[in-house]
Amino acid sequence: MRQLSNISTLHISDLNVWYGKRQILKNLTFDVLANQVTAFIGPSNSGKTTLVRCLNRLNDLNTEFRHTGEILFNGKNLYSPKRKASEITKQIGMVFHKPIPFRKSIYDNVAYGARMRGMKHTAKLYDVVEECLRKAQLWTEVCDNLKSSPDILSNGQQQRLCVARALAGNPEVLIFDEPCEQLDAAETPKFEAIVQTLKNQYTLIFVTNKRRQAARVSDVAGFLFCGELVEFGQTEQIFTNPKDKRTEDYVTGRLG
Amino acid sequence: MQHYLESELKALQHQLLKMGGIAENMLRDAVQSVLNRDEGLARRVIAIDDTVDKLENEIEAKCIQLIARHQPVAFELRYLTMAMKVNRNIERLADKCVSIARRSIELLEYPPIQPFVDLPSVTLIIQEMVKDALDALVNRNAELARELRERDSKVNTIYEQMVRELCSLMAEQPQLIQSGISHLLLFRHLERVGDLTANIGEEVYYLVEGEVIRHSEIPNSLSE
Amino acid sequence: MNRSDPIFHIIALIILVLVFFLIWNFTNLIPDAKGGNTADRAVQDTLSIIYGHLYKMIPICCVVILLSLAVAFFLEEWLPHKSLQYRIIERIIAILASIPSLIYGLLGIYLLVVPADKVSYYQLTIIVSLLVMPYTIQSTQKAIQGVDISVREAVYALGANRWKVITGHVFPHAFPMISGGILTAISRVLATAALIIVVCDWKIPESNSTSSFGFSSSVVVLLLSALSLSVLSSLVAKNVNHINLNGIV
Repeated sequence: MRQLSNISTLHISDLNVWYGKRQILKNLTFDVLANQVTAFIGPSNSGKTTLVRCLNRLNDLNTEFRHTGEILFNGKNLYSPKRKASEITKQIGMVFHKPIPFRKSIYDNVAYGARMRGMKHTAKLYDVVEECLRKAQLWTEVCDNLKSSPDILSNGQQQRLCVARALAGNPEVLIFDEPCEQLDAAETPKFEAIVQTLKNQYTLIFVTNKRRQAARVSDVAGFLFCGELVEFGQTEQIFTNPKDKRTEDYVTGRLG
Repeated sequence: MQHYLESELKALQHQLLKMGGIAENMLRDAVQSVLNRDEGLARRVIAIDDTVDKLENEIEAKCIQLIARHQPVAFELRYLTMAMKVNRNIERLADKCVSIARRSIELLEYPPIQPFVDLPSVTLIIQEMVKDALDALVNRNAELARELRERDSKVNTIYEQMVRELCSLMAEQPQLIQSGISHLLLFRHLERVGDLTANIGEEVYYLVEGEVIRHSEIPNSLSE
Repeated sequence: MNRSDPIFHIIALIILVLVFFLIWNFTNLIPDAKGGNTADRAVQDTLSIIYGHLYKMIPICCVVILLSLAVAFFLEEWLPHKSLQYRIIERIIAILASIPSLIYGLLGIYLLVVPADKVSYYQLTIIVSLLVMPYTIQSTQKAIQGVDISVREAVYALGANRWKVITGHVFPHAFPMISGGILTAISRVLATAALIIVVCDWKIPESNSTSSFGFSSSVVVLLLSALSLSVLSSLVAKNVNHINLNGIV
């Protein structure tokens, strides 16, 4: 077993979230540790996506969003009025539930992430693109047609392209929001393998509604149910000896 | 992902082999301590058992963790269930070695009785068996694994022979009864080691062939 | 299929230029209406003046269209959708856009042009903006709303600010539909002009026949250009649907 680090990258305490009058998340308190895969599982509508969107301030787009509680990113308040949301998202990247390639070439898609952090020099940019595509294990498949549109790629390749693009922004934390939802059975293991290799360099947060997937990829897992963080702990413990009855029901497939 | 589980299984096998190797050495040293009346060696064997116990816990936890996280099927499922059973068998084997070492310390209180010619030879056979069991595991050798059962029945035959000899000795010289009983227990432990090794063979056979041979008849060719 | 986008837009531009060139040419053919009673003369003069001033609408149209784009982007990107201002403005625009364009034209003539007895930029601007703005704003709003929210989020998630998201992604993605809407709005203006000419012409049947001929042929030209523009706009819009169906966001 890999030595688990205990540096807390994100510290969340007493997080409550509302959309309008509806409360989505209730009193969440947990830590996301550096260089680990932290997975959130739970049935649909349990608030998983809302939770991770709080962590990179993507919820700011929603005007109805309201929250109380504290989120510390490397010890500093994520929602302090001095910090711009666009600065946060540069450090906390995200891969969405469906592949969203931009209408640019494959090269420019990845370069877009690097340009976002102010990179201009082309030769260096090319290196960054190659490195990120390699990290996303896509380089060998696309190195011959970097200039073509991402349309030629399969769904799974497009999703890996999105991973490369997010990596090009050089984030510290990378959030995966049900990234394998639209991938087929052959692509999913590849994607999970990438997650395993990425955790050495990044702190990963992985949202999934497939409990088996969470069991495979994560080091720490949290079970969300109706906006409550029912249980949060080592993945092995959640999947072998859950403390809460609801967690047990969920991981055994009786719930949701 | 699949190759991730594969590497985990390799690491698991490595640990199993490490544990098996320790048990193998324990067996050799335990019997040696009996033959040479070497108390120090016996105590060393007893001390090593802690390591084995720790390893057993580790391996078991690892197996459970892998099953919980990967929910393996087919070969990987067979491998993990086998690993758990082999793990248990090796640990018991080590325990038997500790018991042999204890008897060896106990026997120091009594004068040596007539040397048992069969003891070194049967130990050699069992040592070979343990070694082959681990080899069969590494090489996925079903044939070698199945043979262990036949070799175990050979060990049993020799064991019965030794017990008979011991009985007649005790009948002739009642003052040797105490020491004789210790010997009897010692032989019994040794015989159990053979059984456990055969069990490992059965598990390895199940791993490779997917077939349970635990309670089937042993072919008569060698059991005679 | 992305490559076909510019072609459509170039065609649209060519047709626009042609249309305005034709209109400009036709202004020379219109004979000055003389004679008749003063009221009729006033109307007739007004008509010819309007027609003569059609080409003046080009810069006005440009300004008004840019203004409508700004308003639409402000509404969609800055104003919260549930806020009172947004709902009020949106409702007003919807009502304005649903009024037939002929009514704007006639109201414009009888309330603004006839009393003043001249056509100034001020009056033209009011009429054109009433004709163009609500419709353009509405179609631009639809176009912006049509941009997949996930694209927007993906750009935000890379650390872009609002301005970069709008200029770099929302506008390019919505552009085909926006240009379709603009084309339709312009064709509305032209069609309205044609209608006004027809309506007013019928109201003054005793006007001389030569001008009548001039009017009817200009009506045909206006209607044809309006028709071609709306066909073109539907082509552009179809192109958008085509892209969306293929899952390219």
